[in-house]
Amino acid sequence: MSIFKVKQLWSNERLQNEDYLDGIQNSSSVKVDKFNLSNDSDCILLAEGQELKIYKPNIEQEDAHVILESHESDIILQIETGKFIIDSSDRQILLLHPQSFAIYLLERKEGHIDAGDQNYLRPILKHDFTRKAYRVIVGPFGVAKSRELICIQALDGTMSFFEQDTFLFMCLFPDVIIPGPISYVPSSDLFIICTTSWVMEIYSYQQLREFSELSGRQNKKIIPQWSYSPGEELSAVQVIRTSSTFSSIIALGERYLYCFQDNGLMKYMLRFDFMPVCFHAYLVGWYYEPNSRLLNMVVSEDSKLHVYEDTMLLWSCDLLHKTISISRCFIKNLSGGLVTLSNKGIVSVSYLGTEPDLNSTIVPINADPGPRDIEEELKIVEEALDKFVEKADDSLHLPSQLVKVNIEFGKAVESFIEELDSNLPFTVSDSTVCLDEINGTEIVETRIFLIGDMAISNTHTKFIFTITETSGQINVVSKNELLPLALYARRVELNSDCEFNMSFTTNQKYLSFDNIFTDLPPNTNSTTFLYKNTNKIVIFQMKEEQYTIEAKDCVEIFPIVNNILHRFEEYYRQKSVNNFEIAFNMTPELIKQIIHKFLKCVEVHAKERLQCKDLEAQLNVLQSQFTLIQKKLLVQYGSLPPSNCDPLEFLMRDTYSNIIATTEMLLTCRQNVIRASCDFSAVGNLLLCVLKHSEVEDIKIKILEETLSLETIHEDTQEWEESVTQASSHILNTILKKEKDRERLAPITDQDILSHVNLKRFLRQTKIILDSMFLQSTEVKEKITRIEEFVEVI
Amino acid sequence: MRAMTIQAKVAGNGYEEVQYFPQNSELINSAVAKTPRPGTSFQRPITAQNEAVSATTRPKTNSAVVQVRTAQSALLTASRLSRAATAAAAGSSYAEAPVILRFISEDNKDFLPVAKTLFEYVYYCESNVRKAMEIIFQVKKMDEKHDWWWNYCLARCYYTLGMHRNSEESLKQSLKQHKHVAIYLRLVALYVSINQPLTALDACKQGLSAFHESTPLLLEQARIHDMMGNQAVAVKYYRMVAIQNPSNMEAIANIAMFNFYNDQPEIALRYYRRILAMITPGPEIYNNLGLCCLYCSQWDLILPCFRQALYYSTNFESRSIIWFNLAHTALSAGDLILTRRCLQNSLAISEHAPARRALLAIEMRLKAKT
Repeated sequence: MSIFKVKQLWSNERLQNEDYLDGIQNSSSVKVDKFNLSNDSDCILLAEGQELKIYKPNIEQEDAHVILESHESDIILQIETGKFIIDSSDRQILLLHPQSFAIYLLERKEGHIDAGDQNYLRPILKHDFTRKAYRVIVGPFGVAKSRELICIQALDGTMSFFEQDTFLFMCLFPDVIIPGPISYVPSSDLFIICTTSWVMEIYSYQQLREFSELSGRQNKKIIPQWSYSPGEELSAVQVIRTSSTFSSIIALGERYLYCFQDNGLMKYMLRFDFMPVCFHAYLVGWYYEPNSRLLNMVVSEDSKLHVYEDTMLLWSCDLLHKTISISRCFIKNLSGGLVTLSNKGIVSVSYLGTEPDLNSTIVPINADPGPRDIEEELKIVEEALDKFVEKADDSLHLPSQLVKVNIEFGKAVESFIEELDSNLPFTVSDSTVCLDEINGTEIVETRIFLIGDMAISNTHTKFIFTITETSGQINVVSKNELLPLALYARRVELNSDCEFNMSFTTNQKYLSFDNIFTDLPPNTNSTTFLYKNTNKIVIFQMKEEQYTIEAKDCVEIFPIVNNILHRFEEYYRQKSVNNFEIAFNMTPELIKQIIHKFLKCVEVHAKERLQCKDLEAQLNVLQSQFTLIQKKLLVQYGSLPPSNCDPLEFLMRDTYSNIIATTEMLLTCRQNVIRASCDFSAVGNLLLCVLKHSEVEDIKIKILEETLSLETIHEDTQEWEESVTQASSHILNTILKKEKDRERLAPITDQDILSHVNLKRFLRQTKIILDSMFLQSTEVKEKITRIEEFVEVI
Repeated sequence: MRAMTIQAKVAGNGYEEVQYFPQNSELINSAVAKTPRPGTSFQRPITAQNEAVSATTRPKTNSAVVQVRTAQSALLTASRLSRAATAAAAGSSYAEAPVILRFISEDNKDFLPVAKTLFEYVYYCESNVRKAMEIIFQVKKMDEKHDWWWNYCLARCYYTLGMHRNSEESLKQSLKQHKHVAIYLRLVALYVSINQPLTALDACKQGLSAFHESTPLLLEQARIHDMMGNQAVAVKYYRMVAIQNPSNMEAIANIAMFNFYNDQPEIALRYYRRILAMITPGPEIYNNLGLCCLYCSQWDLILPCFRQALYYSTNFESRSIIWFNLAHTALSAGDLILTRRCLQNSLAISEHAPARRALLAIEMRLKAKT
């Protein structure tokens, strides 16, 4: 219930041992007083078990906090200071042990060498007694001028009076069974005694003295000067002189604070709504000043400090420690500091600070998360996402190529759509770009990525431009562009034996490679390419007046061949050589090999597709099964009385896991289909390429190319085999019409194209077509005249 | 003798733990004073909202009820908090209280000195009122000039037994012997419990004439006025309490509440912010802050306040009320759908009649729109 906190100025926390025994200190084991040794500031005397520690708190010097630490022979119950000896200039220290008290003088010895000054306690006197002591009060009892007397309250409530080491007398009260707080009022020579029956009684010293002589013989009861019954047990009493004639007696109960004048007049009564633990009353100003103020500092059980003037609360703040004793001290630079002793034995000097305690320590969990928290959370989410789509992550590191399309328009155009189409394993970052109201030049940038590890089949990218003019006319322009070699392959210095090789010649003289590959050193005759995604190599070299391309398999060869041919053409175009031609040196075995490979790949593709279809059918069945079980289970759940659902649940779980497994298989199968399609399309493209550069007339090649339509296979919906079958039979029947072929071929049945029989037939058909094509090409070479006839026939 | 002392000391130990009970009993006193209050304070808003016609005004008055209630509970929790530690200490003493005080017989010469301790032990630890009263009568017999405290305790015993008239008599007797704040407080509590607020106010006045500006008496007076519906007078006394003791939560909370209903939400907001600085945060204070912000048009703070309130709220009822207030906020923003959702939320957590009525009204309104 406080806004403020105390500000700590000094604390002995660092000087304390780590292990602290609970309960070896009480509220009177700390005492603040001034000695000759330190005139400028107060010393704090602290008793901790058998040890006496004297501190002189200061802020400036780091080392001189501890004046003295001494180990006594017995437990120290209380520390008091005063002038107990007449012939001494300084105040002495009185230590109360359970069965004795001792008086010391704090002195300083000059250091001999560099060790500095040494403080020590000079014992003056020591006195033993039999009753166990509880508390000591000192003061000039009986208005003794020059020295102070000692009164020790024992555990049974008796009070023994001493002057120096002489026993004077002892008082025994019938009402006191256990000792309560006692105090002495110096100004009017009164004793305050709190009895076990919760009554505060006030006696004069004279009364006590007479009473002690009477007691024992007669059972006469001593009558107090005045008494007060607070109705609760008093825990502490303090006397403070508030004016030149009166002193104030302040008593703390369980819930109330009482303030009296020493003549018994009650000044005020204060009720707390908390549990008070200890208090300290002090006077601001001097007692002989008329406007001095009496203030009370009360420490509550929840370690809050409340400062009252009369019944008015002046200040309340948090003490930060559980406090068992509080007093004030004057040290250099701080007059009126709070000295508190915590329940852990820590003495601290602090002052009333104004740092508001606005619950800043409590950080609500649902507070707005800071940017850093969001970042962390995002990171976690992203990690989870990454795990989920690991493959997508790869594309970031894969080679990519920036495609810039420069568009120039002669006239104003209303809208413009650009589409980029590329074959697997290439993908485009933006496949479609739409632009509105263009007038002039526009540059469109897209990126092409290489993903997946399937064979590269086609390195062409098709650009389709749809242009809507302001007049409303729509034009469609398309353009094929070759992707740069650097995107999918890099040059390596690596040689390995290659089983497949192909060679070609040109009608020009031999050309060094550095003419077509700008980054090669001059007069290179051989170079090796490595595909970035499949790690397969293709060797391109000059051998016996022929250009040879070697690879492990004919699948890999096409993109490089295509690229090289393109480069040759480009080179000669720049040189303005018009009659440049390329001729492949194809042996029949080689052609056979390629065709065989092509058909093999088609077969693999068809098989994978079949498997895929099977899985799809299976998934369909499972799905309907799952729905059925769910329905049954729902009926089961709702039925009265409820029947056993465990078998159905088991079935459902089993079906579910089956579905998951099938789906995974299907996914891998799809991937296989794509891979196979890439393979055969690569080989197919190679075939077409070879055909193109042979002497077969263009129209046939065009027809074949369109028939095979190798670009279309990548779309999932396309069923390549089915569509090609129809077209190929057309080729067979019309273009390559030959009687004997026709007889040999059985027509394709009505069954599914992918069925075993039909597939075989299809393959044979394709084989015949390709064979005949190549046959023509070889024929053409031998008899050029026949080609002309052939053309005429068509 | 030594053995006797030790025994007494053990008894004293037993007492050490018992001594926390007086506060508890006073808590009961003040709780007695408090319990009728919500009922009376409800009267105003209930009459105001009687058959409120339009859907827009209805939730507003309803939230006023909420305000009262939450402010009340804020006070209760606050006062409970400060005593939580003591209650914990007291709770453990039941099992541990080791002594059966048969050692100290009535003939023993130590009986009188320890009688008070013994009484408290019997009264609080053994909760044996009859035995405690026996002790009182014994003391009265033995000691002719018996203390005022014995009469006071006798009144306490009568009070627990429900003998209010006897209790009043002994308290008055005790008051003749001695004037103590505790007697006045007990007298006030007694009158409040037998539903005589005017007599209670009289007792307060007597007490205040003896103890000027005594905070507990002022507070009691303010509570009685508040209970009787004299909010303005009550606030006057609450202000006096706050001047005496600026950290008195109840006074500040009540002043804030008064300001809130007096169409001064800005001032109420400042008081509530001060309370927030003083106590450990709870759902009520944030709820009240949120409502104040709403009426002060500090839109940016409304939702954070309610969010905190929801975060701190532990019991269903307060959660439901906070959602109800949120519905009111949504209604002020003009979002009927959100209002309906909040109300549904409120009802989902705990059945709350105003929320139910408001939901019906909103539904009707929405239907009329479509």
